[in-house]
Amino acid sequence: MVASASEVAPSAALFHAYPLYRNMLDNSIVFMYYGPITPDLIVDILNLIDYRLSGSGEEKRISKKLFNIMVESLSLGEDVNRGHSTLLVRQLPYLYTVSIGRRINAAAVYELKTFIDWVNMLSPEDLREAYHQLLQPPTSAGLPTSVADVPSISILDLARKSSEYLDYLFEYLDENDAFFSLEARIRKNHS
Amino acid sequence: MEALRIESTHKTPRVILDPENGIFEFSGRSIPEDSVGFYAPIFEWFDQYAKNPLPVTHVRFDLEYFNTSSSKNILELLKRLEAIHAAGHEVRVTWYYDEDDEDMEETGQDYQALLNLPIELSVKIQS
Repeated sequence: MVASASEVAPSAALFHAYPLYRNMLDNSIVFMYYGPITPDLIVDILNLIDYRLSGSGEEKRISKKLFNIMVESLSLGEDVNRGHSTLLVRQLPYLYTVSIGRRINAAAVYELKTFIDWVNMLSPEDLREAYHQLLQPPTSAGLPTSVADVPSISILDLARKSSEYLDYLFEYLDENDAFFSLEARIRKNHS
Repeated sequence: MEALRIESTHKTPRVILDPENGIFEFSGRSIPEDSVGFYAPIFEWFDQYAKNPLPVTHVRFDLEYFNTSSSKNILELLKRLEAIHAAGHEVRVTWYYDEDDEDMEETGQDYQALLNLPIELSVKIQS
């Protein structure tokens, strides 16, 4: 029996395997996920990361911080009714990065960008005060509880935990949607 | 008053509120699907307990990790304890944290700053 050309030719999916491997290796990506984010999945992802870290000899203090940042990052991607979210963890020699990506309303990009810029300018004390304000029930004069359907307290929490500038990127997808990604960093020599 | 016991799951904490044996404990993880729904019966329980609390209520929090949605609910719960304390009943809270978990320690400090309630921060003893 002679195989047809379509049976001999590698599946189109295989052509993506090596570029993906190369991309992960070149960019120090240790974990990558695309899909819905649910509390069950958060637990599974944390278990996977825990497994990866346990063999790496990483300082417990750093792995705890990475874990805490991942919990909140995943909350940012949870229950998004505009499609699936992405999660990416990079392990560089001197830091870890955790990036969450999700769709948001394109009209809210400016508002969200302005909010993150404001958070990035806060001193640790002001950040703490703003966080305390958002922990409490909202008041009309207070900070918004969410910006572009993204919980404000989660952004403040990530900024506090990482003690670093939060990096972000917006890509307009169409007139309704934009893709928003937010990156929190954990320095290995964090003190 | 009847005890409230909620077994832990991989995403919700174990809760023991047992006045007869003087045990008030929260332990494990708190990333529930519906944070408000999970904590609602606990709030109701404390609202009933506040009517006739023990002379001393010692509540222990030994949490592994939780999200900000749970943080808000824990604050609401602590506010109920603060009200019992303000009414003249002794209330003590012990907030346990792993010595390597500075975020968990900081959360305990946040609650200390926000509440008029004796909250002791205590490093977990590793077994």
